[in-house]
Amino acid sequence: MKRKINQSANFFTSYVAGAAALFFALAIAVNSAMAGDAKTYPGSMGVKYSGGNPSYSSSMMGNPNTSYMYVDLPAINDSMSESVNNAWVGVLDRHYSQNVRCSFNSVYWNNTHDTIYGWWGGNKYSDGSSNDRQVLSWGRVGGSGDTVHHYFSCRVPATYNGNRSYIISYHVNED
Amino acid sequence: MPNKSIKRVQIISAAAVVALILGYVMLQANSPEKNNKVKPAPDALLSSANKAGLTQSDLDHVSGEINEELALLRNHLDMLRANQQALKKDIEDFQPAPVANNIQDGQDVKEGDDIRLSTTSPIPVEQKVQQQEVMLEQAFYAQEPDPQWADETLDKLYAGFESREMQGIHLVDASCASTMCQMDIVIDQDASMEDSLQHLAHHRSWDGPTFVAANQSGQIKIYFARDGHDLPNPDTDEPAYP
Repeated sequence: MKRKINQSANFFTSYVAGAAALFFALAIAVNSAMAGDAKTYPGSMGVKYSGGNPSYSSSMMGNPNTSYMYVDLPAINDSMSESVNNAWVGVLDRHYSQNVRCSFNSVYWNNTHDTIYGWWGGNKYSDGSSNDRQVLSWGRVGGSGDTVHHYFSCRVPATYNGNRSYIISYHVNED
Repeated sequence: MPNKSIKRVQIISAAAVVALILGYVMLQANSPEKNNKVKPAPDALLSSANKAGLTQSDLDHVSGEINEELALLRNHLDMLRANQQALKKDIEDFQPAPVANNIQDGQDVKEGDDIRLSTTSPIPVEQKVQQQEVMLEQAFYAQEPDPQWADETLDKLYAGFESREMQGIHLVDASCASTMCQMDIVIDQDASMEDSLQHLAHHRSWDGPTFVAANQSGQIKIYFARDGHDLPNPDTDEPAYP
């Protein structure tokens, strides 16, 4: 009889401990989800603005042309009250003298003044030419609010000696 | 004398009957059933009224007046409810205006004063943009000029607007201080503002963080920061100028 009571008590204790652990894990998960939002996008999500047409490989976006290619890389703004905490673009620069150049931009259309407001982050450049992925990064940038949208503006070097430069991927972290 | 006392009794009786009717009406008005009109008085009340020498038309008249009063009261109540709803919505939608946390109430604020805005709650983007425009202008005029950097930067800027990509985009005025420059740009009347902005964003001849405001009249105002510096930002609460 005593043994049965002990078994019941153990079962009850395990049950309560398990429920508490589950609740704790859920709380952490919810808290993490609310703390911020970071996303990495493949380079192929970019949109060409000027220059020749891009090429695609493994969802990276390359420039197969003999002159610069200009692209915009859209990013989702899903943390309405927060500005972007950090952002980066991963690139392959394979041109001996031209560099990849990117800036992180935010735009807002104001109806009261029929005016486009823009925040253009500082231009960042790749360095040298290699097969190594280079990262152009920014700290806190851009505007915030549900009517603001974010994107990168990039310039990709021409193909040199058959070697193409690429936008590999890009990343935006809001919190 | 007896006539007088009969009259007094009649008046008291009439008052009692009216009080009874009023009491009944109030009860009806407060009942859970929604009545738009006072119900006709029951037989017992009518017989009391008759005994007091009041006719049916007297009662109808009093009842009509009470109905009118009730209708007015209901309208008033509806209006109060609507106002309450509107106030409730205003409270829900209320966004506190940013407060200058280094300026005392009633203190005069002059152009060039250092106004630091409190950002304890998220500021709507429209307000933020207006704040930033003010901050940028104040910051620019508060700076001591750095003539050497300013001259070099202006040369580069004017040269940049000569490029093929900047066709139809004209730099009207530009000036630089020590860590910031401002520019006034106009675009050709037949040029598209959106296309011109896109050209500017991709082919600008400066690298620093930039704030741009482009209106539909073809005017563009730009502030940008010197390399290694930031522009003032309402989010950071600190003007970027020294």
